[in-house]
Amino acid sequence: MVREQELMTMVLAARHIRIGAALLGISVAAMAQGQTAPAGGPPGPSPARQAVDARRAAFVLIGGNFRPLGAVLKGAPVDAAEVEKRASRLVFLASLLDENFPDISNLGSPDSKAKADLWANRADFDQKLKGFQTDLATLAKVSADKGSADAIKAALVTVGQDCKGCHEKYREQ
Amino acid sequence: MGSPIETNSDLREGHRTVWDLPVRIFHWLLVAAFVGAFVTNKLGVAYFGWHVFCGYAVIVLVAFRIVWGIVGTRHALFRNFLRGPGETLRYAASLLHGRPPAYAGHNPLGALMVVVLLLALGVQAILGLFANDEIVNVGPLYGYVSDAVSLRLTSLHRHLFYWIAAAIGLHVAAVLIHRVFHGERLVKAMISGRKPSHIVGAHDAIHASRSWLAALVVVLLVGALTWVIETAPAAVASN
Repeated sequence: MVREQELMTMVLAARHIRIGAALLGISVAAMAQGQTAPAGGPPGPSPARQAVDARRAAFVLIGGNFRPLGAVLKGAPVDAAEVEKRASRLVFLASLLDENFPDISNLGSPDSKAKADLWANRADFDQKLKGFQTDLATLAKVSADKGSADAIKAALVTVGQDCKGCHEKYREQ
Repeated sequence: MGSPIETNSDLREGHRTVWDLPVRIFHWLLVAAFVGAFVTNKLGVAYFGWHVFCGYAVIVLVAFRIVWGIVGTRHALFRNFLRGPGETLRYAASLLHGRPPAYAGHNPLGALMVVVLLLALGVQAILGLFANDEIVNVGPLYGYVSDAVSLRLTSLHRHLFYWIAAAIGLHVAAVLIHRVFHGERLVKAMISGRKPSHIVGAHDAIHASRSWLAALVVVLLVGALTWVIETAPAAVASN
């Protein structure tokens, strides 16, 4: 609810700015929204916006593929083939994140939930991302090798911890 | 009625019971549940089931204590330990002057802390029921609210923790101050249920714990909570 109000306030504010911008002959509104306006026609999403959209899309798919495996954390039996299928997807999806946090995409709330700390501690974030990717690769390998249920579960827990660790530090919560 | 009685330095004296057994068990189980909830969160996603269990324990304990504040024994009753702003301020002033009156039950500031902690812990546990970790875990009542609302409640759940930790810090610090500066052994009293006779007049002591009534209350509360949880719609997390 508060979120919607904030967005509405932003939109209204942007409108006011746009009127001023028209008078000044510069697209202040577009800049305020982090957008670069091409000459003629509505502005497309800025590179920053595109990066945010891209990482969000990746995270939606990562969540959608990891969540079904979450039942295992709560004691459901391990289906190695199912884990392998999803883990191989996750390996690919997580690789997409490599270029989706460029410096320009530090937009802050409400445009992005990524905290400024992420860019302030870039090396740590990159290391966490690398760890996430490595642990997913391990999960894919353990399940492909038809490892024991315990080994698969342990690999799943490690990945879940990667999610949690990074969210707690670098995601607005 | 917990009337203030001046402390003196009797060497050997008897003790009288003020805290009934249910209140004492409640207090230490609440400590365990809070610490357990904290630890299971830190341990990570695989311990979520235990985290939820600790939250259920907090809900039952807090609800029990509220009921017990109405039907419990003398010093457990809200009407016997809640004080007005005047007496509370006078008590606070007496603390600064170094000679606060000792109370058989809760002192006025302690009473305030009881209420604050009960409310905060109750709200915290209820918020958790609707929460969503945006990874794999959701609270048992997540299915009742929209995702946006769940995220708001989850955010409150994350932030309220720090306020509760601060309140608990203050609570423990106050107990230590009473021990060091005023010689009151409040932890011991919350374990044994007894305070020195010079603090507790004969008419202020309690003579029975009514544990059977407490057990009945707890059984009913566990049943009610189970019903609420079991009838909730199933739902999975989103991100």
